[in-house]
Amino acid sequence: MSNKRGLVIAKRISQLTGLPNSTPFLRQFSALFEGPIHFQAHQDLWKMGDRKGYLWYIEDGYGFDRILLEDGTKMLNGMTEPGIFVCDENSLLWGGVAKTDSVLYTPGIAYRISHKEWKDFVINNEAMRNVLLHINSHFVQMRKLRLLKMKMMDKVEYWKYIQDRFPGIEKYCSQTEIARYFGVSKSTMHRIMKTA
Amino acid sequence: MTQAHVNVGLLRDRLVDLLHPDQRGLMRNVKLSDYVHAYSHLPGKFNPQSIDFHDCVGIVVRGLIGVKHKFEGQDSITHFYQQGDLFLSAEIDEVYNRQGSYWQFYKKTEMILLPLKSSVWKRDQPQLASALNVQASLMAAFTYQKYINNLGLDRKLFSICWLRSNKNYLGVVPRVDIANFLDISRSSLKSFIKIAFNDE
Repeated sequence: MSNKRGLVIAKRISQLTGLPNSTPFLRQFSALFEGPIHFQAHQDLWKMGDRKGYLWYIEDGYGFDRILLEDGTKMLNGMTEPGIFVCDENSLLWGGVAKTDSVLYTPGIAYRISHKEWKDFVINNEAMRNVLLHINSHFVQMRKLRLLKMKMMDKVEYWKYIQDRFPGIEKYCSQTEIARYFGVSKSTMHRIMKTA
Repeated sequence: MTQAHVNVGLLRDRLVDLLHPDQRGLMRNVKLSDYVHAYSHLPGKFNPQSIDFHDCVGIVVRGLIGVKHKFEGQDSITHFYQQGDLFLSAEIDEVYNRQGSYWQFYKKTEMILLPLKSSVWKRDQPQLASALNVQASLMAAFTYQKYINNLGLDRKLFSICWLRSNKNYLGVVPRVDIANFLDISRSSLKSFIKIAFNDE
């Protein structure tokens, strides 16, 4: 196992869970990742239609994954930022080709593990499964919060919050994409950006 | 076939759908009725003291539930469960519930629950129990992303389609809750209801 790889993944899970990063199953899990993989700005992490799926850990870099909506438009699905694990969730859950794509807009560093290896390890390792359940419950709460912010938070404040999280977001994403991410029309988004 | 068998069969179908295609064989020969229990609740806010609902996956047999959350002192509704819908109790479990999420029962609701962490279930079906636990956890996050993405769809079109598909909700769910769910004003709701049902 590469020391760097083992340290990076185990350290992040340790931050998320409070477990020491020397915990044997965390080290074992980390060893299954490939990387570091270096990305240039605007390179794909994955594309719609990809058959082999990976769970990615982002050490450095910012981007977005996009999903094809029922009405045929593409929407920003989730933000990619340092410290998060991302993947095409539909294919992680049920296999099949990727329904989303993901691009790093800035140079970045990432590590990856195949969906199959990830699932085999998690299903057969109770301790790691409990870690996953803990981390995922955190993700569910974050998504609930995002949903509620989209519906209820003052949109100007929400825009400022997003700008803080992803500096320069307006340089990388179109106003239409940002408007959909906010659940508002393009003209409302324009007004929000102007007000902020 | 009794109604209870039909209901357990419905849960079985939903659990098969929840599993990855490679895992679906694990459901073969599992007698789910040995592990599930039925539960019903009268209209009103869910009373968590009425049952041990931790780490359950379930389906609505009949009735209607809205999932509400608290945000800066206000209630907001993000989705509903009706007959045949699969749900996870974790979304309202206080351990994972910084958003004060709760279930609002709009009608008398009957459901079937499978406790995913029951020791008997885990002892008898270790592989299936692990697989379902992982899938359920992933699905919880995935489903909330879907609700987020729905908010990115054109409000008028989405609302009209949703109203047409869920006409039965109008008689039981207060308009203020429907407008909040659709993220539109009450006057927009009124005009979308007119469009949805006058064009039929």
